[in-house]
Amino acid sequence: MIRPSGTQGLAAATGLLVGLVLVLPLAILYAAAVAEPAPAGLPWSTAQFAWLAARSMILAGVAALLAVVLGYVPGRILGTIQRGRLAMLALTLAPLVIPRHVLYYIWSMLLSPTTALGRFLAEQPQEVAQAAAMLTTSSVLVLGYWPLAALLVAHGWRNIDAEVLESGSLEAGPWQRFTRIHLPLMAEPLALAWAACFVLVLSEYATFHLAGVETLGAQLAVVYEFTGSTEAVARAAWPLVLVAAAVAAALTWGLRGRGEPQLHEPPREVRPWQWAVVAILAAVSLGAPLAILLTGLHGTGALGQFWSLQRDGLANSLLAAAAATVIALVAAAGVQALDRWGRGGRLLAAVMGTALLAAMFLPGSLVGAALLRVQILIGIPTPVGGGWWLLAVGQAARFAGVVVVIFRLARDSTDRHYDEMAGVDGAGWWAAGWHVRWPRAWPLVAGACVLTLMLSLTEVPATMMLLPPGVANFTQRLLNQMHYARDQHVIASCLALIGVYLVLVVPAVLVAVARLGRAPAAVLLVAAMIVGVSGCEPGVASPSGVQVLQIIGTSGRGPCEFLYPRAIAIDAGGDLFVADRTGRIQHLTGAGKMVDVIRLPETEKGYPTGMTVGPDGSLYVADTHYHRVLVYGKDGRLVRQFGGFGTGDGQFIYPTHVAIGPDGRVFVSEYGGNDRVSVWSPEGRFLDAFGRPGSGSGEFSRPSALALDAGRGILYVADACNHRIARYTLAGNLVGYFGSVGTGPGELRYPYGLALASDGRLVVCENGNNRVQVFSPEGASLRCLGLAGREPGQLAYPWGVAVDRQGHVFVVDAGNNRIQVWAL
Amino acid sequence: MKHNRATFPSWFPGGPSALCAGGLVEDPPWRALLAAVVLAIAGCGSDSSHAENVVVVYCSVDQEVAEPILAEFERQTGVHALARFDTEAAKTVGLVQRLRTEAARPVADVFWSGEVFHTIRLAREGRLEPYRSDVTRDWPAGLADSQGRWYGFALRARAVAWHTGRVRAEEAPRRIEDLLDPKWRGRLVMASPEFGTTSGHVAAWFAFYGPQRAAEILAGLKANGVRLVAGNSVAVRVVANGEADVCLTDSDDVYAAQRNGWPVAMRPLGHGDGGAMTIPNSAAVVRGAPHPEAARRLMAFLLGETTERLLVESDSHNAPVHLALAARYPQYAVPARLPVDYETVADCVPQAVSAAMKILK
Repeated sequence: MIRPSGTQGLAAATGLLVGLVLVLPLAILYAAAVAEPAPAGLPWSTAQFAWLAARSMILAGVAALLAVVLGYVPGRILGTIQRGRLAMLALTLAPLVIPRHVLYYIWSMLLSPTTALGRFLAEQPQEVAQAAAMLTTSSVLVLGYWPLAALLVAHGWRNIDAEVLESGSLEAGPWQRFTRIHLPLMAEPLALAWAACFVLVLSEYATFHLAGVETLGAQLAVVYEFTGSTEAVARAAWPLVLVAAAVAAALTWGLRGRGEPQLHEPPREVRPWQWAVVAILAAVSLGAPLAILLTGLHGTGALGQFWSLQRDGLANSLLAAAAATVIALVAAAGVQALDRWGRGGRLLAAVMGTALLAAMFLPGSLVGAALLRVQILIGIPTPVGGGWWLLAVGQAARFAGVVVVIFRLARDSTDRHYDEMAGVDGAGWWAAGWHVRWPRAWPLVAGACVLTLMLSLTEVPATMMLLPPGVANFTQRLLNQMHYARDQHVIASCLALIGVYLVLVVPAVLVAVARLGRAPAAVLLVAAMIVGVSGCEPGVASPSGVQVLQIIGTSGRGPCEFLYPRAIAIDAGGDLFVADRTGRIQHLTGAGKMVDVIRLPETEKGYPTGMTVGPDGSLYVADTHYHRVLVYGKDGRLVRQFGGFGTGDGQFIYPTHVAIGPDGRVFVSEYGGNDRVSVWSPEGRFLDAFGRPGSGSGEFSRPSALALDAGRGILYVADACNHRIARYTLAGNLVGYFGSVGTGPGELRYPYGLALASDGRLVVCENGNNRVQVFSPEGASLRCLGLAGREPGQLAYPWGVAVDRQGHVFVVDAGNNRIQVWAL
Repeated sequence: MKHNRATFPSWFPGGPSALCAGGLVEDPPWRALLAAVVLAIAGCGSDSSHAENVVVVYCSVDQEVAEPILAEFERQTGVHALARFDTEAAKTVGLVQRLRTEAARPVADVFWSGEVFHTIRLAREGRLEPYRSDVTRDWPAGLADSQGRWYGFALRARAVAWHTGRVRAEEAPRRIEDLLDPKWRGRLVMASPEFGTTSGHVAAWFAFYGPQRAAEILAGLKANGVRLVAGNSVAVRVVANGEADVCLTDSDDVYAAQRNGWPVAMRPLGHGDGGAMTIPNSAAVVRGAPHPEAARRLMAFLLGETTERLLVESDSHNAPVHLALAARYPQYAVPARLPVDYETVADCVPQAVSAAMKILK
C-alpha cells in the first residue's frame, strides 16, 4: 500500500474508534444475544412482531419517499450553483440543528389548547384533531429528513453526465425530461437518499415515542421495559441492524470516488420556481418553528430561569459534544487518508466508512448499550461527577458517519489533483492538507463540525446510557421538560439551542465576510469550535497596490471556470488560451468570454505547464507529462506533435514551455534530468540543444518558461530552481543572468512564468514570492506587483503570465482559480 | 442546588475532581492495565479523602422536581448529591437496569424512584440494603418493605381526567366501571399498559378484582375503543387537544396540564367501592453502596417531612403520608386509597400486562 506520510496516525485512530468502539462492542453484544435464550414474556407474538416490522417499514418508506421528493429540488440547486453554494449548503443543513422530537414538540405547541388553532380544533369532531396530530407527526419526520436527501441528490446531480442530459433534452418537454431523462440518470442517488432516510426513520425513537406511534425503533423501549436486557433489545433490533448495514454499504459505494473528474460541466440552470420551493421549505422547516417559539414565549422569565438553572448542563453538554466532534473529525479524516493508500487502503476505508455510517443508522440505544457492556466487561470504573470521555466517544461513534459523508462530498467538490500537485512539489500529507486542502475545504469542515456538534448536543438514547452520575445534561433535561409539558422551559431551551448554533456560525461567517487569513480561521475554529458554512475562501486583507482591471474566471469546470490553471498564451489579437487541471485549454477573449475549448488527448499523467502562440496563430503546447509538444491549428485541431520521452537529441523529459523565433525555429525548455533548451525547425525537426542540469554558468535547474525578444535577439529562460533569469542569444550563447534568490526587488523565488511587453520589458511571474516583477531588458528591476492572498491584486501560487499589446498583464492565479488582469 | 448542578467535567477548569467508583484490586492484570490506561487518558483519579462527602443517587423523579430537594439536602448536610436522572420516557427502567448491570461494583448509593414496583423487583433480586432509623419507625403500613429494603412516600393518584369543554364535571367518570359505559365509546385514551404506572394500575385491577373481572374491565375498555398512547402525559395532551374526551393518567400529569392553562380537570379514579390506586415514591439504599454513611443521611432526608413537603408543594403536588403534612395540605389528599398491597400488585404485573396487551391491542 502507498502510505502518504503523516497519515498513519490518523488511520490508526480511525481503526481504534471503529474497532474498539463500534465493531467489538456490537460484536460482543450480539454474541451474547445469540448465546442467550430468547427472553420470555415479550408483549407480542411473532406474527405481531412481523406486522409491527412491516408497518414500521411502510411508514418509514413513505416518510423517506416524501423527504426525497421535498429534497429533490434543493438538492438539484445545491448540485448546480457555483456562487453561494456553501450558503445554500448552510441553509440546507440548518433544519438538522433542531432534533426531530424537539421539532415535533414545537409544532404540537401550535395545536396546544391555549392557542387559537388548538381551541378551534378542540371544538371540531375528534377525527379532525386526530388528523391534525397525525399530520404533525408525519410532517416533522419529512421536514427533518429532506436536508439529508438534498445532500445526496446534490452529490448525484453534480456527477450527472451533462452531455447525455443535454442531448436527451433537446426535444423533450419539462415533464418528459424529468421522467425519461432526469429520473433514470438520477436513479442511483435518489435510491441512496431514500434508503438513508428510510433507515433513519426506521430507527427513530424519540419522535415516535412522543407522538405515541408504535414503530420498530420506538418499540425497542418496550422490549427493554419487559426484559431489562440489552441482549433482548439487540435481538429485537436485528432487522434494523441488517437494514442499517445494507444501506451503509450502499451509501459507501454510492459515495465512492469517481476516478477522473467529470469533464463536462454540470447542468446549471436554476429556475425561479425552484428557488421558490427552497424558500418555502426553509420557511416551513426553520422560520415557522422559530416563529412558534418566539410567539409562544411569555416574557423573559423562562430565559432568565434557563440561564440561572441550566447553563451548567448546557456547558457540560457542549464540552462533551465538542470532544465528540473532534473524535468524529479524526475518524472521518482517517477514512479519507486510508482512501489514498492505494487499493488495499481503499478497501479498508470502505469497510471503516461503512461501519461508521452503519453506526449512524443504528438505534442509538444499541451503540450506547454495547459500549456500556464493554466498559463493565473490562472493568473501567464509572466516573462520578465527571467522565465526559465515554459519552463523547459514544456520540462520536454515532455521528462520525455524518462527517464521513460530508468529507466525501467535499472531496468530490474539489479536485484531487491539487493534492497530487502538492505531492509532486514535495509536500507531505499534512503540509498538503494545510496549504492546499484546508483553504478550500474549511467551510465544509466547519459545516461538518457544526452539524456533528449540534447532533451530539441533542442526542438522546446513547447519552442517556453513557451519561455519568452527577453531570448535568442539556438534552436529558429538555426531553423531560417536554414530557412534563413545561412549554416555557422548552421554548427557552430551544432558543438556547438556536443561540448556540448562531454563536458557532456567526464568527465563521464573519471570518468569511472579513476574508481573514487561513490562520485566523483555524484559530477561531479550534478555539471555540467556531465554524461556518458560508462559502468564501479566506484571503489576506493587506492591500497590494495593484491596479486590477479585471478578474477572469472562478473555480469550476464550466465555461470560463478553472481548476488550478497553470499555462497561458496570448495571440496577436489579444485572445487568451488557458490550460488547467480539467484537461481543457480554454480559448477566451481578452475580456474573458469563452470562444472555444480544446480538449487534450491524454491527461491521466498530468497537464501542460506552458504554451505559446506562433506567428501563424498555431498554438504550441508543452504537453509536459507526455514529453511532447502538441501543435494546434487556429481551428483548434491537433496539427502535429513532436518529441518523445528520453534524454537523447529530439527527446524530452517534462517539457515546460515553448518559444518561437522570428525565423520560425521552436525553442523548448525541459527539466526532469535533461534541464536544457532544445531547438527545433519550424517543421519539427530537432536542430540543437543548449544547457545542462546544474547551478553554474550555462546550467539550468528546472527551466520553466521562455520569452523571446526578437528585436533584441534575446531568449530569456526562467531558471526556476536557481531563482534567476538567463539571457541567451538566439544562437544559444549565454549572455548573462539577473536575479538571485530572495524577496526583495531584483530578487526572485521560483520564477515560473515569463512574458515580454511590447516595449521589451520582461514580466516575470514568481511562484515563490506570489508576485509579478517587471525587469528592464538589461535586467534591472522596475516594479514588483502583488503579494500573497485571495483578494483581487493578490496571488496564490501564480504559474504563468502573458502581456497584450496594450500592456495588460494576465496573471495565472493558479491557487485562486482565476486570471487576473493588471495594468503594467 | 448549586453543588448538584455545578458539575463540570473533571478536566474543566474549576470543576471538582472526578470520583471513580469501584476498584481494580481484584481485577486480572490485563483488565487493570487497560482500565488504568483509559483512566490516565481521561484524567479520572479517585478522591477517597472526600468519599463521605458525596452520595450518588439514581433518581427517576422528574429532574426539575428532584433537584431543589437534593439541593436542600446538600445545604442541610454539606454532602454533595451527585444524581443520575432518567428520562421520563425511560420510565425508571433505564436506572433499574443500570443498577443491575453495576451490581458487581455498585456506583449508586441510593435509588429514589417515582414509583414502587421496580423498587420491589430490585429488593427481591437482593440488590437493595435494609435501612432502618428513627425516621422509619412507625412508617405507614403497606408503604414499607417488611425487611426495610424500601420505603414509600409522597403519593401520586391514578386519576381520570377530562376535557372541560367537552365533558361536564358531574358527568365525568368516578370509577373505572363508569368508563365501560358505551357513552364513552371512541372518547377514551390511556397510556400503553406495558409502561410505568399504567402497568401497575392494570396490575392493581388483577389484585383487587381478580383476573376474571380485570379481564372484563380490559375488554370493556377495548369495546369502548380506548386509544393507547406512549405515556400518561401524552394521554393528557391528547385530551387537552380534543383528540379524546377522557383519559386515565397520573395526577401529576394533570397538574402539569392545568399549570399550562389547558382545559382539563381530574379526580382520583375509584374502583368499585375501593378508592383510587396510589403510586408512592420509593427510596432505598443500594446493596454495596460505596458511600454507606452518606446514603443513610440521604435516606433519612428523603423520608423526612422536608422532602415530602417540597414534593407536595412542587408541580407534582404529591399526596403526603406524614400526618402533619396531610393535615396541612388536604387539597392534595387522596380521599380513599385502593386497599391493595404493593407487593401483591408487583406480583400481578407480568400477568396483567400480558393480558392487557392481548386484549387491548
